[in-house]
Amino acid sequence: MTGVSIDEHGLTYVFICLEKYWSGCWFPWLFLFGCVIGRIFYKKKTGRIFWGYLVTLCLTVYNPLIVNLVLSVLKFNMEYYRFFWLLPVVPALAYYLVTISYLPKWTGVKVIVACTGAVLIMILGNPMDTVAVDYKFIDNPYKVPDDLEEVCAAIHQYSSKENPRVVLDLELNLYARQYDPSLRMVLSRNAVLYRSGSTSLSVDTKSDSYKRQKILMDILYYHVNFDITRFRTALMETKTDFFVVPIEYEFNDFLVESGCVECERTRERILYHFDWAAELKKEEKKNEEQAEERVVDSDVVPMEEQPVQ
Amino acid sequence: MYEIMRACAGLICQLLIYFMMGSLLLRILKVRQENFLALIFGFILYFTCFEAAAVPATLAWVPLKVFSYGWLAFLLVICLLSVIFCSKRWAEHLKEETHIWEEHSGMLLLGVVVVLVQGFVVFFYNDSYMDSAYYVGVTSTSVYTGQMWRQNPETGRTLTTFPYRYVFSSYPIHNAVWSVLLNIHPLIQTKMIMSVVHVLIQNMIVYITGIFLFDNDKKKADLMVFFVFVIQIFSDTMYTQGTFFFTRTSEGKSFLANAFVFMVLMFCAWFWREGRQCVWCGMFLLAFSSMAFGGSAMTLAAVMPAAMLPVIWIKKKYAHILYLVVCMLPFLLYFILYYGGRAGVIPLAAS
Repeated sequence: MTGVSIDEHGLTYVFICLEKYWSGCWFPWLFLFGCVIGRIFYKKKTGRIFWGYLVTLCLTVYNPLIVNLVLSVLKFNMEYYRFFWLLPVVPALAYYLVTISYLPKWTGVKVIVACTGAVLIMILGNPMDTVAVDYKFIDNPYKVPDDLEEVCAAIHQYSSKENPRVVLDLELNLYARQYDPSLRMVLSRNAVLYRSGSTSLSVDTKSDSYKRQKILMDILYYHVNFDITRFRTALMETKTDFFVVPIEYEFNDFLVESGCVECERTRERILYHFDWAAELKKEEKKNEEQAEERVVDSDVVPMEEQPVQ
Repeated sequence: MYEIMRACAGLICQLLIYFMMGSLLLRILKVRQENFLALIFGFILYFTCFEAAAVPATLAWVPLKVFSYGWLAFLLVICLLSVIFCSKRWAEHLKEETHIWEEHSGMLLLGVVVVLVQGFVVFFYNDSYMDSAYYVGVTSTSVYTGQMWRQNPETGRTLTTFPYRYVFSSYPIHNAVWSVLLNIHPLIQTKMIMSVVHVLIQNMIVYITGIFLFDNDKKKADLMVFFVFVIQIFSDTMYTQGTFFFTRTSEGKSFLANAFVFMVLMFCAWFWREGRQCVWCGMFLLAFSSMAFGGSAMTLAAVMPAAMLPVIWIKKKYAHILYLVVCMLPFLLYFILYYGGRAGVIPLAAS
């Protein structure tokens, strides 16, 4: 799990992971309570299944000794939380609540008990904010930002290439190839996440590839290290055809000066084209001219160095 | 609009296929026809067959369209067989289903509303978790290139070797196949159709589990469906099953965390109640089909013995331990493929 290391926590690792998994939610305690009550008072009931689950899982995948041993060999620390899916907390709690709801004889009382159970769950649990409170409703059937559709249409309108190479902003970068797989992404997901501060990924920061991507990200995402030469070189080396910046970012002059051409404005973004092939030729020509000039310069021997006849 | 209509047709089509495959299997296993049980069995049988066909086809560089139409032909044959051998059972079962209201009463409405609400939530939820860039990316890229998993889904570059971590799980390819067959965008198949399929299958599993746990009391089973919904929606952390169920619908992991883990409990409760051998057939299919949804399926190798061994012990049916061992074989196979691929023993050349 993120931020929990087995080397650091040793035998307490499982308990810390369990705490982080439920994050203050009371459900595992209610489950434990139900299991114990069921074991003591309802020995012949089906609920014994959950007791069997609990004991076996505690002896195996939640056993601190075994977990320490296995994780140190197989190294799946980040995925360990998935073992907490196996404990049947959700179905068992539902089972206990149904059982309790049906204990009274009268239907009215049953309804009251069931409603009380549901309210108890709401009080003791953590509501899923993105669903229950601030529901993220879709913009379109593809479940991508509307702007992405416009950006992709504009790219294909302006480009004759079948697979243009693009740099999109942080939000669109995530969706772009899900929606339009003809686009070639210049920035890799790992590089983007690493630059944004993720510690769960390993990226070779000394590689040329990452260095080039970082130059682009610094300017387009984080608005630091504005250097025209480095920016142009990175665009040319990564063969970037198009890139997108949010409309509120005000560095149009810098981009125009770098040789980029604005080709489309959507509601929230500006699409720029960079003709890296032409720019590369220009650059090569310029370099050749400079080299020739250097050769001519070197042919002219300075006066003081001329041999005395 | 036509795309959405095709998507709805695709959803019904996929559910019908699960039902037909499940009915055929239940007939072979001589289990009484139950609609939900047939759908659940059909679902795991479908993905077992798909996994067995798609992984070798991917590694053999079979073009996506060729594989899709081959798969369609296979499904048509199975459906035809199902119609031939099961139609009589369906007709008989339909006649028996006349007491639904008496068995469920008002709880039926509660169950239906809960499932509709969940279906609405996942259908219209803007699933934007970053991992979908990879999983949905595989589907989109495969549909676009007509090749199965041979490009990096995040960048579009051609891969030299298949990624051993993912290639043995064919769920993204399943979505690509249906996108080709229905001519719909992969995002619609992945984030809309399959999320609704998941909601339906998951609730059927909870309902059937309730039936087994409460001695065929359907009202209690309906109430259990309601409580599971409430608990799931009030168990929010980034790791819980509920979070995966409602917000990470496009990932195979979501199925593993919910439908498959609940299914183990369902089979366990069934075994507790009836002690039938057909449970082991279901368990084997569950283990095999779970591989299609991701490497996290390996965690099921821990929960299956945890669920079944205590019941075997309590019921004193020690001979069934052998069946349990057989059910674990798909996990062993996956383990060998995964570590074989990682060590380079299994050739995974993608270009």
